[in-house]
Amino acid sequence: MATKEQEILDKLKQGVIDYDEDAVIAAANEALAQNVDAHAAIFDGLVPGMVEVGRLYEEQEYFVPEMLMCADAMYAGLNILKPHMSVKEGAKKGVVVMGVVQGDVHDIGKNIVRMMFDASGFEVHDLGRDVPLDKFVEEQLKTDSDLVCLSAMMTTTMVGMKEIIEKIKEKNPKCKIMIGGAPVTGDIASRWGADGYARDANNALKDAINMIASLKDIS
Amino acid sequence: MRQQRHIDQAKLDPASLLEKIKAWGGEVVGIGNVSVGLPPDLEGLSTAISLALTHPEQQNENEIYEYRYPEIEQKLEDIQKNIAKQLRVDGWRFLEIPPDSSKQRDRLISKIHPLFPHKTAATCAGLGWIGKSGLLISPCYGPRLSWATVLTNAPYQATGQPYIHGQCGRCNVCVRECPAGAISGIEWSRCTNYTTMIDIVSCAQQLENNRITIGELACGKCIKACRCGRKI
Repeated sequence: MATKEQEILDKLKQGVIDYDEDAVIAAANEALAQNVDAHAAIFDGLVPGMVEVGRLYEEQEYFVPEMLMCADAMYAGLNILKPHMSVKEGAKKGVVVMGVVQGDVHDIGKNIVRMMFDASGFEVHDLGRDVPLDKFVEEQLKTDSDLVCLSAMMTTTMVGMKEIIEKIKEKNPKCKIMIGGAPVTGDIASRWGADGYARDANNALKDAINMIASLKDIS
Repeated sequence: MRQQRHIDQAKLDPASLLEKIKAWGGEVVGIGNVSVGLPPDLEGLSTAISLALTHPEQQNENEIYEYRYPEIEQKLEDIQKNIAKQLRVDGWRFLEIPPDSSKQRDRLISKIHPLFPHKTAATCAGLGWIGKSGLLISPCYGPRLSWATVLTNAPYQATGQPYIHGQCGRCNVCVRECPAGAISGIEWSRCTNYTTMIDIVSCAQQLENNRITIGELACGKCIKACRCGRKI
């Protein structure tokens, strides 16, 4: 059984890497039929696949189209597996508001981060791209989110983040803010008062889980 | 060194792939080089495999030309999948651009699809030109086809001379038949701006009128009227 389960996990992982939606769907259904834990299928199958895709992208073996097709394959599996996660595992880890700041339309990075949040059971409010600065503040108040994630790919649009961070912190000092995108550095993040900085999608997820965990500890 | 480069750029013979595509059900198939003007996100995918399936004959008295055939588009997608599988086995990159009506799906990759029109693939593969109507016109079937494209980095040889000019000549049937008068009658060339050929606002208005009067957001008079590929 253990090897059978490993085989299915490998198929899920490989299906994501191969951007082969049909293979992922078949493997996800097989996982359910063989009583593989849905949580394990996602976190030991789909997610490691996506991590590998991130590596291939970084090494320029994969490009934007491959990355997106892999993400679609991962979502195809996620849609099948997610309803079968046990209530405790499926319980939402937190509420996230995210988007690409005004003036910037580069949303691929944001979409990948969003996918990681989706996979891990966050409730995600995705504002999309080219989002007016005030919209972030508004949405945070409306959803009472634990976390706001801001993304920018250009130095010119990145500066808008500073204003958003100030406004949100003013209205709701408990809300955590994470920023990311090509021009952003850890140094900028701390100077502008952000709680987190994510170099890439994988780190964004890890940081987010830690941040929300610390938040829950305090309250 | 020079010779090495020459070998690297050696073109692949597409004969066996084309044969397979025909066996999978492809009716009109061609390969073209689309490296010129390829958007940055599609870099490297400079070979386009263009394929089409023909529409069934329609009753002449129909008020609209039915160009939406879900079963044909499904078949196109199945053929695309086979092509993609083959390219994967052969170790090439690929990107399927699905038939137009399938593009609206809630997928991340669907954002990439509008970057590459089927018309570019088909004209570069020499399968047809852009008619005065703005439709892709095949010399054998006119505009009565549904199209799909697979982009790849496999350096297959082009299967035909690209069309860089329209071949409508003196024919103005679509210009006369258009109920909205939206077709200006200008012959297409590769860099022609479509807005000088078609008044898309009047065209859209006509569709909207049809929705109210016939109950369908469709028209297709220009598809029906085109004499190209018709036995007269």
